[in-house]
Amino acid sequence: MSEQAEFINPAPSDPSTGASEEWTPRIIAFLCNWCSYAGADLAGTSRIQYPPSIRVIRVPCSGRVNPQYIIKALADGADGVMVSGCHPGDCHYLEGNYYARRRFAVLKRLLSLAGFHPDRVQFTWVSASEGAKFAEVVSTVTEKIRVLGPSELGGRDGA
Amino acid sequence: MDYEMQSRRLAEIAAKLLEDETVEAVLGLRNNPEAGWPTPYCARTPQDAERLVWNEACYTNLAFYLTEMRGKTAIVAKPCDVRSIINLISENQLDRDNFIIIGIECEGKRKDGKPAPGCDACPSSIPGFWDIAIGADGSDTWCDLPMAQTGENVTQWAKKSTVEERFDRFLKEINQCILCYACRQACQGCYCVSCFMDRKATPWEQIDADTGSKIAFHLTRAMHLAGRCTDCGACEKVCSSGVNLKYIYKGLSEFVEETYGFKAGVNPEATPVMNRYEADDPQVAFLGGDCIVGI
Ligand code: SF4
Ligand code: SF4
Ligand code: SF4
Repeated sequence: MSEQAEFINPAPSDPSTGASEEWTPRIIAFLCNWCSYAGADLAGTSRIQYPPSIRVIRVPCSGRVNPQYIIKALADGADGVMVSGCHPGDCHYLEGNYYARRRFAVLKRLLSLAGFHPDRVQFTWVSASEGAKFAEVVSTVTEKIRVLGPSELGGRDGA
Repeated sequence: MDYEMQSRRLAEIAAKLLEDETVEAVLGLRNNPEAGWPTPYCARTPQDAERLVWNEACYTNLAFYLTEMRGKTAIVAKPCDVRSIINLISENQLDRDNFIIIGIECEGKRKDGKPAPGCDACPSSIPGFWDIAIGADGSDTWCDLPMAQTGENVTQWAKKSTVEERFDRFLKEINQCILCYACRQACQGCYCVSCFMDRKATPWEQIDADTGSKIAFHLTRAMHLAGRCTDCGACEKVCSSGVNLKYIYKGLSEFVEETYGFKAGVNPEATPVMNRYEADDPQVAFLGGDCIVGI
């Protein structure tokens, strides 16, 4: 099927399979190596449950997340994108997350203007010691994106 | 607006600057019957200066050409060109000592019988700064003409519309796009030696002529123009498919101004807004934060 066709007919042909209870969104999660990735690790080693919705991409810093990555993920049909980095003031590289904060604010407004639901993209700060918070954040983000239903752009890989 | 007087004075000034060897070249526009509208022209001798034109179809933004000039240059600049020059100076792309601005008053250009894109929102008929002034009547004083200022307030529109309406508008525009990149070539801010669209190093960066690629191109370009777009309208003027995406760039400019108090093309000394941060920047985009961002 061509992209164009997928585009005009968004993924779920049966609306009841849209934002259903069982459907789990596919969320691309960019986690910074020093805080949020370690936070996710801690959530794992502490055996805290959270929804299996995120596909993690480890990056050195939230400031390393090129807005193009987020746009590309959405354009290619991800249901949502989550970016998590160190709390302001805690950046391993001192100021990466401060630059990121501006960039994400502008990006979120941009996506809103272009008609992407603002809830599809979520930014948070999670530190290495916040395993429980990480699980909570993933649950909240997943729920926010779940109610929106699958991406209007449809998945390309069908996975 | 007295185009004849302005043109005459422009030719005189240009001829004089070239004759005195104050500058090596005068960058302006000349008639181009092939194109059908005036196109960029570099006058290098006093005789060449005769060919410079100034009329209501002179809407091309010349700022970008200035970055490619070697030797001292004078540029014929209307207010939007000067805003772009200011932006380029603040980004270290131009050396102020290397050029002279022939500021020329402008009350808005016309393209295809309509006000040219961008001109409806232009704040002033007078350039932000200049070395030599050519007023609306051809004299060396400004007339400060009233401007139409009928451009839409994108933020207000966005707040009133639904997310579906915004998506439809965006899709309607990009569906016409043929990915020719003329908008990028015309834009003063798009001076990158290697644009992200030309880098095809990794599989995920491959460009097809599909909707996903168009979204990726236009949104990423918009992101790169955030706080740098000077609202000159060049991107819309050059688009052969009639794609009008300037509202997206303008919407971002409004956001940047409202949130960080920064406007592109005003202060050549200012550090570009995305190149700096404040420790107490608002947490506007963040989960649980104060979400003024998602409209
Ligand atoms: S000039 Fe028009 S058709 Fe060409 S890439 Fe830009 S928007 Fe698309
Ligand atoms: S994005 Fe368009 S309006 Fe903005 S500076 Fe570039 S060409 Fe001008
Ligand atoms: S779209 Fe971005 S990368 Fe391409 S030339 Fe413009 S600013 Fe540079």
